[in-house]
Amino acid sequence: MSAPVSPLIAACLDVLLALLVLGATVVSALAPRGGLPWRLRLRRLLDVVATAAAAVVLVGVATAIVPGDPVARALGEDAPESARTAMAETMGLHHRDVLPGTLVPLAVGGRVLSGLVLGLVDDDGGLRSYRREPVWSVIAPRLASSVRLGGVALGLGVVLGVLLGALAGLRHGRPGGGAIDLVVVGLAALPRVVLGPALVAVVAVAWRLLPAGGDDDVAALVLPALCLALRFGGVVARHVRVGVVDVVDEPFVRAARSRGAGPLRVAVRHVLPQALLPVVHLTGLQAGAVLSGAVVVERVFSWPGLGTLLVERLQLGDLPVVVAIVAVSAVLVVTMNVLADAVAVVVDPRLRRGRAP
Amino acid sequence: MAPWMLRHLLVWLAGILVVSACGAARHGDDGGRPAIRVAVGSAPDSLDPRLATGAVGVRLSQLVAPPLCVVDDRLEPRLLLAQEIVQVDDRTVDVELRSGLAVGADDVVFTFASMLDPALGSPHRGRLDVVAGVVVLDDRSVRFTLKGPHAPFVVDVLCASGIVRRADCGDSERCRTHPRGNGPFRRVDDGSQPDRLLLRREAEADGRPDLDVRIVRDGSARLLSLLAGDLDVVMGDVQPWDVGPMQRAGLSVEATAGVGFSYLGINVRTEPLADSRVRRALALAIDTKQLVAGRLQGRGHRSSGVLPPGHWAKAAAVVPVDVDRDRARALLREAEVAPGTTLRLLSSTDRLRQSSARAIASQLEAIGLHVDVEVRDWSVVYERLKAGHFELVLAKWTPVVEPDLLTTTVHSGRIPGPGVVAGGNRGAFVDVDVDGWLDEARITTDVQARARLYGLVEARLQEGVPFVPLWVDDEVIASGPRVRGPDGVSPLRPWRTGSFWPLVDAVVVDEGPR
Repeated sequence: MSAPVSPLIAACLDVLLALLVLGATVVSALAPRGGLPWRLRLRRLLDVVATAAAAVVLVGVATAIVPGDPVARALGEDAPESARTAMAETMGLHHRDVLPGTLVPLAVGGRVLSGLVLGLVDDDGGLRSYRREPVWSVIAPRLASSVRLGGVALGLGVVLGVLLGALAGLRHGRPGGGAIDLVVVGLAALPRVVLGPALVAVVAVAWRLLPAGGDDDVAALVLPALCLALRFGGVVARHVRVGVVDVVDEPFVRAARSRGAGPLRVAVRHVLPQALLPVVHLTGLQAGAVLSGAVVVERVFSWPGLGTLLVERLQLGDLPVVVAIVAVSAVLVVTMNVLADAVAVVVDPRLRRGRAP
Repeated sequence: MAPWMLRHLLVWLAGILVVSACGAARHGDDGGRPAIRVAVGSAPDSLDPRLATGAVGVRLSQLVAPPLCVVDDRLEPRLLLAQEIVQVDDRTVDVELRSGLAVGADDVVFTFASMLDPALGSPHRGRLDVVAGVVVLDDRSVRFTLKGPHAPFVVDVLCASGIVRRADCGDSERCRTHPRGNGPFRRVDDGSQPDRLLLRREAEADGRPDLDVRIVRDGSARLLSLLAGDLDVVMGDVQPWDVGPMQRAGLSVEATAGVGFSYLGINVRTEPLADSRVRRALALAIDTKQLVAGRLQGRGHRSSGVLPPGHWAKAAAVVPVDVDRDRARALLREAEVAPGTTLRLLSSTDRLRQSSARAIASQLEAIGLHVDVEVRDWSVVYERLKAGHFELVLAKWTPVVEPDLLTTTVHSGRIPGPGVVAGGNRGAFVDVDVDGWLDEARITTDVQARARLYGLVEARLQEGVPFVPLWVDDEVIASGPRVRGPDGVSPLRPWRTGSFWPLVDAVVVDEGPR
């Protein structure tokens, strides 16, 4: 059982936490890079933590700054005083009573961050949604859904993009090449808000092959994953195509051909490996966003992911859940970028030697 | 990249695909029981009737923990758990429960006591301010003592408060998500599948179906899922433009006049809208017939005031205002409003509201007013309404069943401000006669007298025009071929209040492809 802390001390601790997090993030961003590999890895790890923490603090600060009463927004104007007090405490807005106005946003930022971290180890002590559910219990099933959808979509997108991009690059300037280019550009440009309903109308309604929405079984995953993957695959294909076109006439490729290697072997062993590096970075950039929620696809296919939860809770003014989603998204985005960098270092020896590719 | 790395990458990708896909291979265990797949437009905020405030939460909670009475299609209270409700005197109401219920008098007292307890944080506590005490008379009877005469008590309190079991909700967080009362259903899913709730029959009922409730937020997704056969029923949330495709596809679409009152709100604190002649001019310039026929595609009824058509307190003399733009222009000239005067009309992002706002703007152009339509997210609209930062706003009150809602919307004591509870008079309309009639109607228990008073109020509002009544939406149920009404032949028919109660007696006639 913890001893009660005076409201002023609690408020000051929250302000201090917010200042520490923001300060550490700025220092981390400005500090010079380089040094021993283990230090670099540690720095990367700290980047992930600091970015997520700073994002949470900034959302808390923004909530306290924007006009209106966030408690009334979350609970409605007719909510009883007890519920208002509890929500104000959850959000850190009760610090208004003991702190000067200028410090309140920082206190709110610090409070939501500490509440979020505490919620990871203790459901009862951490942040709770406006419906009084522990925030992590709200987030967890949605995150699992988003990761499932995002994972399949990214996998499909990479496979589709690499195959299509390679084909487009190898057929560049030959008969049929223009048509493949058109398909690639078309996929990359196709808005999901159009593609999604079209897929449902054809595959689910007209042909009755797959479910129109929901997340009941594997079959329900196919259409939303395809909707995400087709566009992502189009973007990947464009990058792969450029890479293939760049290297397809390089001396080492011509040498391979002259040694009698067949077209498939040349493509797989000599051309594609050179063209795939941009795909690693691209996948890293896209992965964080896709895994942390794809609002349009989730709505069209009634997929219960993080994106729709974020929109729903933003409209309700449910700050605790919003900051939790922001934190998760920040961690996912930064982690996927760090992973992409790590994979790039592994696949390209020039990066290991500190040279630009 | 070395070839071995490429191979590894492909193996990893395949692994991710398989693992991710397998994660989806789960399904709520329905034990082979028939279930109706029902779509609703938003997630219920709670199934505990003491906490639910959203339309979906309130309606679903009624299936689990119904109240003592419900409001029927005549918009009058109909006994449900109660055998009898007796007004002993103007401060005492006795309720006798039906026999054989799973809830008793002790549960009724517990429900109301817990709602009054600040520790629960019930958003309905304000409604119970009028209650001085609730006591058990015997196993099946309770007595409510009121602080003063309060005519809306039965509809606003007894018919709006689901009764939960003390044994399940006495000291349990689980009650927030899995409450139990005397409803025909209980929730059996563990909440692990987001956006899906499984409501199972409390008792075996001759193979009558359970409910598989799915939250489908997007209107087009609801339509397409119904057409694809993935859903059986869409309760409410059927957009007017979806009705045609549904009917053409052979789905059943049943509608009835609802109880949602859409209106053009007017902030009478702003110029030139402070002048009642200008407000009357707006009412005369807006063609509600055209709006209902065009924007709602006939799925609604013109409105003459807050109270819906057919309501027991609706005065026959209060009828929708017909368009008369010449008279509207004359009123504007009288009020010395210069041609081209600009008004700002606030609307939420809802598709129907947006398009209606634009139609209204163009109708007001016809009398020489220029209207800028501001489309904002609903949370912003709501904040601005409460703060009084608007000139015109397109909004809706729902459900309008108890005529005392007029007090919330036009009584001068309900202009939002510090200390004002339920401040719904956002346009700051003031009329002392209206205040007096409303106050009197609140404490008058004679139904005829109340109806007369509300008739006076609605007639006065047509002169003062604190808002322009637009329409009453239809309540719609769309259903596929698997589901039928209790006789197994007729389609599911909606209640005016949008209650989910029609699902209680629904039957599955064809297991067919699911």
